[in-house]
Amino acid sequence: MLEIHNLHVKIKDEDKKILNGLNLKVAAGEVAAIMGPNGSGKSTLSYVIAGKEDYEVLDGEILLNGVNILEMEADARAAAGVFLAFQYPLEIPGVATMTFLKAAMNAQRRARGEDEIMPAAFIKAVNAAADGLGISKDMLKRALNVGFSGGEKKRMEILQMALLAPKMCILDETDSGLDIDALRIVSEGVNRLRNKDRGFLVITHYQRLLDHIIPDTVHVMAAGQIVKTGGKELALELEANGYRDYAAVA
Amino acid sequence: MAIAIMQRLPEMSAAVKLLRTAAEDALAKHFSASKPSGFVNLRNEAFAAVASNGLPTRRVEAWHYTDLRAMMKVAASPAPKPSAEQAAKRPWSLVKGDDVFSFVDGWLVKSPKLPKGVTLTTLEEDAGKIADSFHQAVNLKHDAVTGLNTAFMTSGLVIDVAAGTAVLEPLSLAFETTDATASYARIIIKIADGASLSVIETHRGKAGAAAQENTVVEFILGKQAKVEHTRVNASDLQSQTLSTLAVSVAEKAQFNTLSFTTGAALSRHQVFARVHGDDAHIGVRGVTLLRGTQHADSTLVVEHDALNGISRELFKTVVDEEARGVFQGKIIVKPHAQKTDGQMASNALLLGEFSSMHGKPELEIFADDVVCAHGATVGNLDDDLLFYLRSRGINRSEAEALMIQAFAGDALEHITHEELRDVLIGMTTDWLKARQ
Repeated sequence: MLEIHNLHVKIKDEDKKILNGLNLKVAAGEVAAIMGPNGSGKSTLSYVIAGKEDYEVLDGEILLNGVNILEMEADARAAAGVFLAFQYPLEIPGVATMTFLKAAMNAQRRARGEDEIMPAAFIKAVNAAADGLGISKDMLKRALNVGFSGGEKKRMEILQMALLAPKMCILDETDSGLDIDALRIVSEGVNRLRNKDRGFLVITHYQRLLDHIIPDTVHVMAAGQIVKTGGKELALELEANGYRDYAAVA
Repeated sequence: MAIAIMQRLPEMSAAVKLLRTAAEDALAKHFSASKPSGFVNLRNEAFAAVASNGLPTRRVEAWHYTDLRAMMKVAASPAPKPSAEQAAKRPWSLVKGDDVFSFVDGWLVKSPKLPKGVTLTTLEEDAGKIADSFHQAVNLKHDAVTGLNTAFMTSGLVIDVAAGTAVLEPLSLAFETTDATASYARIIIKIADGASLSVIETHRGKAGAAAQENTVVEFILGKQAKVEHTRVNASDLQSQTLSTLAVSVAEKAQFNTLSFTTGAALSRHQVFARVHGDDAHIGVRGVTLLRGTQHADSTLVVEHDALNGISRELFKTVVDEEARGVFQGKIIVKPHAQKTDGQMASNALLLGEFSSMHGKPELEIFADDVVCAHGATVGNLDDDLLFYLRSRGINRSEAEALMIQAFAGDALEHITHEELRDVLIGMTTDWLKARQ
């Protein structure tokens, strides 16, 4: 599904290097977690996969089902199946949530040469996904994320993920700012989307999220590299011992 | 050449005398050639004032960012009365029904069937009534643009709405230009106590014709009157439009106006509003979408002269390519206008590397118990927001369009007439589609 080879990335217009030869594989149907201390480059990795333009890729490649996506614009990557659930979803005043959802679904469909979704089917799909995430009709009527609580914004990210049906889902610290109930709702939403064809990359500081979204593999990231890979038990070990051991490895 | 040439007078070193520009010369020639009907003295007086001061320059504070004297290279000759064929053309109507006041080159060619309680008086019928109505809303004797309108006026009309009349369907004023000539229309609308009215004013013209329009609209609102006014300037991109809106608002009256501008090479829309009755509400808003080398100036002065007045000013300007936007807004709160609540904002979005915006919001507050605020922002499209939209599969141009639409939509959502609001949203979409 997703293969990253020897990825070196720096911030554009700065000398600051963030990723230093990162290698990572996520298979179809796999849920891979990335854990690591602040500043290890976790969020940068998610942005670089999604195609944010603030970074310069110095070397390496990112393959999605064998195709290098680094030359593709962010919207083309989305149409190809990449989805990033943001750590801090942005508020877009004036853009109605429903308008945005429809624009996104249809843009991806057009990019893939498919027909636009029929209005009735669209509303049905949104309502079905919203129900499962406890998203009210009122929220859907408001401008995108404007005035939403942190938990509501994260639920809206998962709603988008459900509607856009991506191949590769990246969750960037989706647990941050969530209380226990919201964490459960969001996790259940993610778990419902797990299937044999879809890959997940779950980025988190804390083991807590991984109690709800149980990973197949856990990677430890430090100083822009994956420094250790293990099973779900690795998360527990990190929770107990912290990241101190790995800072030295990098 | 129409550049200002200054000549120092030897005996008064600080005073300067401006030589006439080509446009000023032409205006004088046109004026002496005109054969006006009605109030000749008033016209002479008005023109004499303009002639002695010349066209306003950037040295005049209210014209600092729009040096009309330098920018107005030519003064087109006043438009002749339109032909029967031109007059018979179907006017532009934004909403259902095209029974409108139709103006061709500033001449009223057709009046609609008027609803009960609404009466019309034209310049031909009663020039005295028209002249008596001037400056009733706000005294505009100091204003050169209004002066030119008075001097050259071809159509003048007073629309009276009787007390307590609720006019349900909007009244439309459709202005059309057909040539590179100058139009001067004057509309005075008096809404008596407790009456309500909505007015849609549209301006468009023949493609490629450098028409010059000077329109003055005056609203006089009685107690508890309610007016919603929407002005659409979709004039040809070669044209010059000068427009003046004067408004007086009595006790508990409500007035809302929105100007929507995509047209004209050079436009200046000036609003002078006076709140002279207690507990009144006034809203002055604008959406301006500019590209090419367009220059659009929105200037407003809102004067609070009574208790508990509320005023809301919101101007959204989108500037692309090498265009230039200007916003000058002033809220004046007189000493006894206590509990005034005024909020003014001008937000501009610069899309092009060479786009520019000049903003000057001002508050002049002489009362001590008021809540007034103003803010002016100038910015670009937010890259992080764009990335968020694009990460969902929306391409760059569509993502930008969504954001620009949202930006302008803030002001458009105040229009209560749903159909009209949708038309203006549609016009915004069309403008965006034509983006390079």
